[in-house]
Amino acid sequence: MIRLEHVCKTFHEGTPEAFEALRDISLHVAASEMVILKGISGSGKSTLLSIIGALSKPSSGSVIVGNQSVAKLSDLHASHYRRDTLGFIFQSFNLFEELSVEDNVALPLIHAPITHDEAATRINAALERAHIAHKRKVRAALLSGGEKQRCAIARALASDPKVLLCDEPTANLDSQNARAFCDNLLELRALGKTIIVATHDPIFETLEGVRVVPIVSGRIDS
Amino acid sequence: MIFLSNAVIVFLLVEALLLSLLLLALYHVIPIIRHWDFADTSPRQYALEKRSYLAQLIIFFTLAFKIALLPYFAYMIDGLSLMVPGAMCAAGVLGANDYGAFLLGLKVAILFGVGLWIILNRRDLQASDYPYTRLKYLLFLALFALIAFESALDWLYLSSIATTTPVSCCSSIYGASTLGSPIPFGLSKEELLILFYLLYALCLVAALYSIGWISLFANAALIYIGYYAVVYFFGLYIYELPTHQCPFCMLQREYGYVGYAIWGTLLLGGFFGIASALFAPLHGSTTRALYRLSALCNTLFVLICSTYVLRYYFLNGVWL
Repeated sequence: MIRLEHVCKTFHEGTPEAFEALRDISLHVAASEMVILKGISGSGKSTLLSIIGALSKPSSGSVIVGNQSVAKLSDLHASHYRRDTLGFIFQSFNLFEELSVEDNVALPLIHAPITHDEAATRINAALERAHIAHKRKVRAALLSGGEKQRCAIARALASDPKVLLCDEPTANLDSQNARAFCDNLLELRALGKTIIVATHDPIFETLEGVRVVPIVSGRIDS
Repeated sequence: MIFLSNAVIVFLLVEALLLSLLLLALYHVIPIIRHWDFADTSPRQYALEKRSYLAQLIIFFTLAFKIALLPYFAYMIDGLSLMVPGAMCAAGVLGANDYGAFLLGLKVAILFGVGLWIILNRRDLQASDYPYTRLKYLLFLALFALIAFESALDWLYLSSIATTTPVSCCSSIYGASTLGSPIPFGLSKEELLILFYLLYALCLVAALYSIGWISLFANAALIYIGYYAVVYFFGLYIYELPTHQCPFCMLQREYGYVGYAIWGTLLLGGFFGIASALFAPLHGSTTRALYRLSALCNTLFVLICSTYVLRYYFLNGVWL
């Protein structure tokens, strides 16, 4: 599903401030697999996630998701790739506080080439799957932390992505909500989603059937 | 002394600025042409992709500005007629030395090249694997050479305009004093008009059925015949004078600046028609859009020209 070969990323290349964030990363992730990128802050796991998500480009190496060479996409195709293939879940939820849960979940579908009815079906399915359907009309600002993260999950699922990328998704959750979030991810994996989580939360290591990939100083620590 | 005109100073400064930007783009473009290999995943290729992004952005901005600079050039030259003795419009100023007419032709040719580059760049960015990157930068090299030559010619031309020597203007350049018929192929005005409308119809048919080679031929011919039709037939109705034949006076305020619309739609229609033929092998939505734009611009051009004739006839009951 996802193949990274010799990926390197250097920030401020060619300047005295040059910083190697990723060094020769090779990683294969199978379809329906859940991979935990584990590392301390600054280890490069979020950079790796942003490269898989076509939010930034590597300095060298190749990134293949499905049959697409993600690292080589133009802006237009990268946008289509993110819209059609990926769902993102962020540490700080990144919800529009003034919009309702339902409207937040509908956002990724605005430019999707689907009918209004199909969009409504997908929104309902995503809300159900993230266990937040009962709050669909509530403004995001009025949700608890756990509910906000479930809303973020529903938004990530709205476009029915093949791949879910989660960046420190439990950092703002208490242990009970973090556990609920992990259970939710396991359900999604069972539905065939490929999931990559960048985190330093040890709770993910306790999950069954996940692969933990430690990242240290921009390298995969074998 | 012509440099005392603010319009000329602004024009030359903008030209110099644009050329500097293109020079900057050239610095990035040369390594791209030499080393571009999209399949490569080496640091050099990624660096080239970044440079290509920057270069195409600079080139697009600069070339888009060049398009706006042609009507400004026409406006500036028209304004200079106040400073050149004997000149009543841009015709006299362009004829003030040997460079003027050639320079105007060169500017139009560059504009066609600029349009092709913009379309090619758009196609390149829309594709997933940048298939036209090398081609578009090779075209840029040719354009850069032409634009550098044009800039030098701008200086030569503007610095060679004498403000003390009287020049001939439209009445003698395009007027009755011209030996023989000025219309090509010895056509009469009626024959010129029939050919004009036939070519327009052919352009429409080519656009409607997306026939590239007919579009290429018909649009190129319409530009050529359209120019003569405007100068020697439609112009009479714009000026409402049976003896006034000039392609430039219609750019002036007293004629509502209609010349900009007439020449603009003729050149744009011709460009889109020719470009649609050149890009026909790509079979994309770009080609269909070009055909539509060509038909639209040509129709506007013909409508504007024809309206003047009909309006004159309905108001006065006679033809000129």
